Amino acid sequence: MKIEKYANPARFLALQERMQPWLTGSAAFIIAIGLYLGLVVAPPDYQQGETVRIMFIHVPSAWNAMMIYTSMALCSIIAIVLRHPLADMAAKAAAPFGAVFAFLALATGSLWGKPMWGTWWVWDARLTSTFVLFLLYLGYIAVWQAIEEPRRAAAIARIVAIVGFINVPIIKFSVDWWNSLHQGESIFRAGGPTIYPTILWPLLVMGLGYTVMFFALEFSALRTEVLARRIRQMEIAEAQGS
Amino acid sequence: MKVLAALVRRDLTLALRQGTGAGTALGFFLTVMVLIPLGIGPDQALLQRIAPGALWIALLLSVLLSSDRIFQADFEDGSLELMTMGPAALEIVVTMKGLAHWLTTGLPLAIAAPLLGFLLNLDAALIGPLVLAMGLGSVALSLLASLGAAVTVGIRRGGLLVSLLILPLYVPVVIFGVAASGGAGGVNIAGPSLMILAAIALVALVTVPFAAAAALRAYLH
Amino acid sequence: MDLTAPHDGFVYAAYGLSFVVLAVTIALNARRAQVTARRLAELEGRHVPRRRATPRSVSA
Repeated sequence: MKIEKYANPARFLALQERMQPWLTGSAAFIIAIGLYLGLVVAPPDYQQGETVRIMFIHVPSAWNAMMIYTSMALCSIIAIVLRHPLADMAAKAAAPFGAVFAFLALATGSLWGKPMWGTWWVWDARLTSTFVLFLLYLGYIAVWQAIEEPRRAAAIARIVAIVGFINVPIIKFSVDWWNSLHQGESIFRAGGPTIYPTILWPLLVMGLGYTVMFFALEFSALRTEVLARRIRQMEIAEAQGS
Repeated sequence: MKVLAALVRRDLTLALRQGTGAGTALGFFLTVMVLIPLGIGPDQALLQRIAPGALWIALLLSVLLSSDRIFQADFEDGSLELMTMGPAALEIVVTMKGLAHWLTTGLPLAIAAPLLGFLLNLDAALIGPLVLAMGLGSVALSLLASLGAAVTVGIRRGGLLVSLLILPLYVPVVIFGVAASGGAGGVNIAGPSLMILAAIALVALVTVPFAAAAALRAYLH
Repeated sequence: MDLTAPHDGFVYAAYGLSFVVLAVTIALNARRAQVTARRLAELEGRHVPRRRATPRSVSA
């Protein structure tokens, strides 16, 4: 898919109308399968018992939270370098969803941590950087709320997205300098995943489901942003005309 | 070079004449360092353990709280707009302003820190590392604070926004700063932490001017 | 799945919270889309032009 072809907002709207039902439908379908695999098929963990099932909604949320901020930073760079008209709007539309997934990652992680490690919270690398990521999302959203002029807001928001993105690995690294309680990498390792297939498959399916769910939400929200800009132009024209 | 010196001298003169910046920051620093032992209790061993961390937090907050004046006055009376048309690039102006803020706020507080550390029964052996780490780290703190000031210069009541944006950036500075001050982990990691702190300060020196200048340009047009 | 395992309250809470939060998110998103579409239809019904009648002057 050539991205440039859909730079024109009208063409994006046409694409969105065609794709939205598919995105929404497949998201629901994949998540349904994931829930079945995770809640019915997968056996309880030898050590953790049923609480291991929280992983199937915790990890996909965290993956989404990180992926969405990365895409916001990319959109901001594209907005600066290529001046793509949809880039800023795509980032703006994505931010609230990113904040939601970051919050869910923190909340479900906390609910998983209490029975597993006996504590609701600990300041290790993963948790701290996820919490900071949540704050960065709020800051980004606040920029759009606080600045009225859209082009100025976009200029500031891009800076916030890019600087924030650089900061997330820095925070992860700096807190990792200290002791870490959080589970080490068990999926993206050189030797391949170390978790059992019965647990891995529901996790991957839910991960895919959450990702598609985000795209479904993002397409819809981006459409709303494009139409909102149209409305603003018309309101300005109307105010000037009358 | 003369232009750079002139920029720094201007801000320093203004700060000394108005006397608000450094005084406010120092006052806040003092207040926090007096209230902490009052709030936590007289357990000397406990106070000694938390002394480096508490000092860093007080330093950080003082720098952050005094940062909104970096660009505000010049933005409001139009001087900032004039500076963009001057002989120095806006990035240089931003760097010099950040530097001036450091000279009037960050550095004095870093020097005063050991004195106030005695209020927290600071281990005398840590004074050297503390001053060094704070001297270096306060550069990063001032620069990052100037970035927050630039991003919010045109926003009324931008305080919450500054906190949301800049406190995340302060996290690595605090973590490595405390480690370099010999707190929480002892002197073994102080050396490498100091190097990383220096690296952070250098990275900030190189990247903040561009980001802050871009933010200011958004408000000036 | 054992429906009354130890610590099962945590599992219910986690899934329940996720469901509620995501449902609210989806609902708010849909509502915003609806409001926008309605406002746009209203403006287009009044045949409001999308561009200004007079061209904008070139800005820096």
